[in-house]
Amino acid sequence: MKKIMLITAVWCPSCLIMRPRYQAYVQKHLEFSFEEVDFDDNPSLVKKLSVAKTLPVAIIYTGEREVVRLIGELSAQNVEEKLSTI
Amino acid sequence: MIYLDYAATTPAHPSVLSAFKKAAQKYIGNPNSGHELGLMAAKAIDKALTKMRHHLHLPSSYELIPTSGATEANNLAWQGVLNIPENKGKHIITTAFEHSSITANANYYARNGFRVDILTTDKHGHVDLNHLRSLLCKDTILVSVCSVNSEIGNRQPIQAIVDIIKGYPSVYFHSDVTQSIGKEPIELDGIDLISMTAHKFYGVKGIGLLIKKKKRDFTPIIRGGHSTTAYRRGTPATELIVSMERALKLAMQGQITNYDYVVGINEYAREHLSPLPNIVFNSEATDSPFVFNFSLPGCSSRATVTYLSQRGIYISNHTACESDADLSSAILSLTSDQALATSSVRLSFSYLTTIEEIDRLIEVLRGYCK
Repeated sequence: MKKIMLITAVWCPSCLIMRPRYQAYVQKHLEFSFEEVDFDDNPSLVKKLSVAKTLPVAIIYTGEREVVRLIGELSAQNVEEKLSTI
Repeated sequence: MIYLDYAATTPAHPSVLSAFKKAAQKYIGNPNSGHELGLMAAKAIDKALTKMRHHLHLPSSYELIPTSGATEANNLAWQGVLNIPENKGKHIITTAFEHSSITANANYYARNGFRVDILTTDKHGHVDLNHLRSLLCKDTILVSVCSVNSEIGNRQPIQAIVDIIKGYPSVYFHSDVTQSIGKEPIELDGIDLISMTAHKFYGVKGIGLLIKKKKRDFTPIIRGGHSTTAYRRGTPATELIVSMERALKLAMQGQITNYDYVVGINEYAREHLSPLPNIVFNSEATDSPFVFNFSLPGCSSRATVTYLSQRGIYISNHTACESDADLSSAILSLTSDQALATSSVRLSFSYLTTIEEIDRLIEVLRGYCK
């Protein structure tokens, strides 16, 4: 099972732009599940995952293993391209 | 001390402080009380609100709801519309150039079943009206666009948006006009919900307004007993409201003179900052003259603000976008350039700003940008 964990914050405009792009991807690619994690509400998890700098951060898992990390604003096409290799 | 952060807040005008003190001493009653002292206070509030409506050239079809500031007004505007149980629409349209209180609400509602679209903008940061037209649909309930961005000063075509939204009677149009009021002319009539705060125009902190069209349905976020408005319960702050009226009156009276003066300050700063090595202007000459944003690639925003602060010059960097607040979301949206977004700073001017202050800033920056 593949999963997109998207780390966002309420104060982040880029998160507003990127959330629907990842959600649309998951709707098209049913092998992916989607989980959103709030940056401010989950400080220990954010620290454990070494999330810093630009938001949002999309961490892609295959099973328990992190396979790729996408950071900041990307076009829908760019998301598609980067995730299609997984 | 050289203060160049007037878009963050302004010092209260002595006349405003005097009005505050006088009202605090005169109107000791709770405006919600039925006795004479309470009624006197309620009458003073009503008078101040009516005067403010006149200062803003708004017809009596608008009501003014006192809030604690623009953040509360923005929250009330969004939640007051989106929490109405009868409203079935689940689509919101906004921009990437809003105050963080708008962005936070947008993210909250996006996480809770609403669809939020961000309007595309041109290279000047102006929203694309054709994109707005293409996004509006039966499901749209709210459009929220600020008049002037606080970080860059880019203006939005508010009346053009009003004209477009007229064709969609179920859509509410909200505008945060905090960076315009008392600074430059803005036509407010036609906007459904308008946010502002007094401390941006030499009023005291702790008082703002949400102005709404009376006929539009709305729901409060602060509930309680009977008060002067159904949309914000609790004891109204008589002296804050009275002092805000004084601040607004003064700001509107001085608006043309102060605007012309600040245009001169902005032009002087622009001309004399341009020889600094590597400087990139993010604000354009056509933006609000009260805000002037530039980047010094290679120098972090935070480092520049700290360097100047240590030398008695107070400017601002930006609204936080990164976890460590070292990147400006507004500059990134405008330029798509990470180097500019991590090195941008904002000067904001006032009728109190002097040429000598700008000269001193430039002198200090010359030493910094070697």
